[in-house]
Amino acid sequence: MELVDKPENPSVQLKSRPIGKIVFLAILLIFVCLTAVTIGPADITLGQTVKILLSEIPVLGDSIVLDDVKVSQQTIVLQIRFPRILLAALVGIALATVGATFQGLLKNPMADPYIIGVSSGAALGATIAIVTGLSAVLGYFAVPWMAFIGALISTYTVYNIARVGNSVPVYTLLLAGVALSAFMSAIMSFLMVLNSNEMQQIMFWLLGSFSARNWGHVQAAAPLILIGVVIINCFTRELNVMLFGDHTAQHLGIDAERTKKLLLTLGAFTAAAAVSVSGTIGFVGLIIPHGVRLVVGPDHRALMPISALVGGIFMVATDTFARTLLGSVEIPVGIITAMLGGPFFIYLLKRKKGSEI
Amino acid sequence: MIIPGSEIKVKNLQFGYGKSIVLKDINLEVRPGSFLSIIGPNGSGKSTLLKNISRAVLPQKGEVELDSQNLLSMKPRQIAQKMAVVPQDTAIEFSFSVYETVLMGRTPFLGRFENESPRDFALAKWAMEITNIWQLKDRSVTEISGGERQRVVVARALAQEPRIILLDEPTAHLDIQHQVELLELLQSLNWTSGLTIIAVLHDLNLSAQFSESILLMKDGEIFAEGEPHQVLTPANIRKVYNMEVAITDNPLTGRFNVISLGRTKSDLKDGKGLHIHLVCGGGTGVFILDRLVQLGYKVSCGVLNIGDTDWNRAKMLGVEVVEEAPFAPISERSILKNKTLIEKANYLIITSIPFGNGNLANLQLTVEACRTGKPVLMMANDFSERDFTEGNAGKLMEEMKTAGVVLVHNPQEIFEFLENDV
Amino acid sequence: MKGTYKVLVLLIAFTFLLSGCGSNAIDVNTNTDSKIFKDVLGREVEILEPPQRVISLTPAVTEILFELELGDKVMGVTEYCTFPEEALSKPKMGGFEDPNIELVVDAEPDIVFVAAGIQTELIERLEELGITVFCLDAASVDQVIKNISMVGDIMGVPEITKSLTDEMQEKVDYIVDKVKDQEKPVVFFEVWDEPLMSAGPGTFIDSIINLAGGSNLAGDADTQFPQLSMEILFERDPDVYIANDFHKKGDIMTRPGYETLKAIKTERVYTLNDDLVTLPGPRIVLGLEEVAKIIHPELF
Repeated sequence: MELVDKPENPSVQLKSRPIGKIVFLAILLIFVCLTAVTIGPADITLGQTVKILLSEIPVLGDSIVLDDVKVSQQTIVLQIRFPRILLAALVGIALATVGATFQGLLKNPMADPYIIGVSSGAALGATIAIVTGLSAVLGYFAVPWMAFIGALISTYTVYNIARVGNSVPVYTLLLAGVALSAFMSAIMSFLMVLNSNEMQQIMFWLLGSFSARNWGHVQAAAPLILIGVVIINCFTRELNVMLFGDHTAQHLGIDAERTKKLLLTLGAFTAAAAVSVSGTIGFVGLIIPHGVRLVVGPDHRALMPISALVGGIFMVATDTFARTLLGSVEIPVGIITAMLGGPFFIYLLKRKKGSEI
Repeated sequence: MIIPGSEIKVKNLQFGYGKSIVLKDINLEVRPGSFLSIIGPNGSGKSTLLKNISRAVLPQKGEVELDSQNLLSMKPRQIAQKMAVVPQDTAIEFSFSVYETVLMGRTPFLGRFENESPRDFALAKWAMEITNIWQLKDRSVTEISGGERQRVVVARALAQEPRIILLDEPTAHLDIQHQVELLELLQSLNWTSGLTIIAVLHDLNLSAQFSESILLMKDGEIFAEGEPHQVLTPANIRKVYNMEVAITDNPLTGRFNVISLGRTKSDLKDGKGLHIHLVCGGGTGVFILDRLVQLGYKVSCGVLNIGDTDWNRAKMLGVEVVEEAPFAPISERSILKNKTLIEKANYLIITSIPFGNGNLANLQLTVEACRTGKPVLMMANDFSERDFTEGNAGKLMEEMKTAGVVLVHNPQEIFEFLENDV
Repeated sequence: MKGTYKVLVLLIAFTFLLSGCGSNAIDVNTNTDSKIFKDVLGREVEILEPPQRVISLTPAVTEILFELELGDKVMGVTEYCTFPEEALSKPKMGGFEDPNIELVVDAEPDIVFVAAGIQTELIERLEELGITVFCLDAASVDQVIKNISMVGDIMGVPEITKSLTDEMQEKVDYIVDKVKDQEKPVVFFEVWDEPLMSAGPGTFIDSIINLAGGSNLAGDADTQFPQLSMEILFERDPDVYIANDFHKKGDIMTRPGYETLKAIKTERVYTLNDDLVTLPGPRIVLGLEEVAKIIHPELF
């Protein structure tokens, strides 16, 4: 039925995706990554780093001469720094994306990627792996694997507790997440007390760190994270509408329950992949999307990709701080994210409050 | 070509939450292009019925069909391309702009990776213009008033280009001018493009004024259905709302007004309401009729000539009246009818009407009633000046006095008497 | 659709996680006269010739290396390697739990020594980067001496090694012999005060107490470092109370409730540098000697 006879050209059009900002941030991310590769405790000049990187490009790389570069330096750049930085970027992207997704789904700006049990499940899984000495049997992938499984089991349990019939009301999800987290934390603490030797190792893992990560970790986490993030970005319109409530979304043609389940699952997998390789790094998933929302607004078509890129940049930057601040000793990156994240967020909040009065 | 609005058929619908049943066996047909209001007291199930039609909830038994397709077999997207819903609750916590919010009305038509087209923007603009919020387009929805937000939600629904629109108390937060504005807008859309409208309204007058049919609900069932003047009668309203109302014609709109008078008095002695019959005329009974109805008594009157002021009042109040042709003397038939009513009544009241030969019969009936021991109250002021029957009325008056009539001098005494005579 | 989607994602995850194990393989030369050494984890490590550039990521081995006069070959140590003094001036490779792999690789070592336990994960990672790793750890004095021999063998300094190990063995035998038929006083070694923690079976401390002719109060515990309740301490009332020299003897004696303990009443409260009894290095013998003196002052 035609309510309008002919469409006139509206004088004002809205841009949905700020492509300019996204491209800029993507380039910035690449730039930050490349810069981070040149930074580190080992003595490697910028020139040497550039040569090493260029030599890896197929075809072009064959013409690069590496006479003044030691094998150890190549190893450092390509096997230690590069994969670590890449992993940091991926984890930052993952956490920010899932944080934004859950904040939208649960309509709660205080939600983070861990809220439905991902972090407590991963922590418990890692704890079990550490105290049972599984790494001795399965190699250093034992802990990430167990963390991943733990995160998924925990999320699945939370989901089932929260489910009412065929739908998942937001408030039950939040409560179930909190309850299960508390329970799993308790078990974890209990295990830690019984195995005080490993306590330090566990605490270290909990704080989150990228130290000693290699290409294996990247290979493990990258596919899940990339698939998860890309697919979630396809649902940004649905997320926008779902902010107005499940009923409204339904009336505008969106199958709210199905979308919710899909996004929760994707989010859980992506967050689990990130947590399993880096430990429970806090604040990134909560603060980045929130901060970005204060600047670009609640439209997920902008919020999602921008949060992801800012998350990646933030993670690489803080990890670089973490590994260079104290000379030879590394600070777990989770500490840096908390120290930077908190005050910056307060600043953003004050600025926004001021402009609203 | 104008595509007609959508049609809704509700068949044998039953719905409840858990074990309690809210809607019992509802059958309803809403033709394309109709404007239906659903009214009823709180708890009658009107919002619930709307939710079943909009598929916000699923029926336990029965079905709802949109253009002959069962809602359950349709995907939300398909439904949303035809049906728009304006809910009661409009609280929004995220700071989208008004323009962005209204634009979301185009969601059912956009593919996953599709951006809005110029036509989508144009429709949103049109929707905002006709709801008079275009000037708010860049404001955040968290910063506008409740009434403005209501209109944003309506605009969003209109942007969907629906064939049927469902509204749940859309005028709840609007001030009077916007209430009328909104309903006039809906009405004009209904007339010009055949948009089917189903609106739950709480204001009886607005529903009377703007809709072409009304559904009156009570306790989860359809109590009455039809055109406004058929449904909104004092009797229906008394039964459903326990309210006493006066229905007047509105000379300006051609529609009528519902004026509330007060709550129906619940049952009195012996489980039966008191019935009072009034002999009046010429405007002498207007105040007393009003007041008696307001106090909750069951009232009847007669015999009155059609067109008489008291007759008008009685009609307005929905009071049973024995009527006679205008300016004609009282006929045998009317006398009989009046007598029956008097016999049924608990009390009989005669107002300070002038008596002529035309209505002397009324007085005669009254005398007989006195003799049977029925409590009779009579306004005795200036009786002799009201006697135009050359003293015949006066004689009947004397007979009544010996029979124990209670003489009163003003209406207040009547009410006090009734009050104290328990 | 959603169900299969989940399975698909799980499969992808599975595949990639599994493939992630062990990606970079390093070619190993197999020379016919190369030597193969077995470390404490049972790993067989091929070491072609005595390493010239050595990194020690565990304080115990650092001490061993310096004791064997190999200090000039040491390219890097951890922040915790504080003995001997020369070690303090060596380049730092990070902490004990999380050594800085980048610095390790940058130093181009011929061999890296690590401890067991928390550092086992490191081994795989370092090997992936083409570095030879050797793990040395000990829980008994015997094992320490064996380890020192191993280091000497690897580093190609047999004479000085033998003289050191012989000397150590002599001292141990001397003590063991002397306390052979003596009464064993009950000894309580306080590893930590809040919560009260001692050393149980499988620890150095336990082994040293036994060798020195004492009976470890916590010798029947279930874990290596049990947290004890005060009740057990008072119930078993040790003859000797030893603590880390972090605490002062005076503070310990005046702790509330302690005045009823036999050890306090007889003033047999001692403190010592816990490095001497926990680091599986050459100073362990010093530790043994001190503990023996504490337990049997009449004999030493």
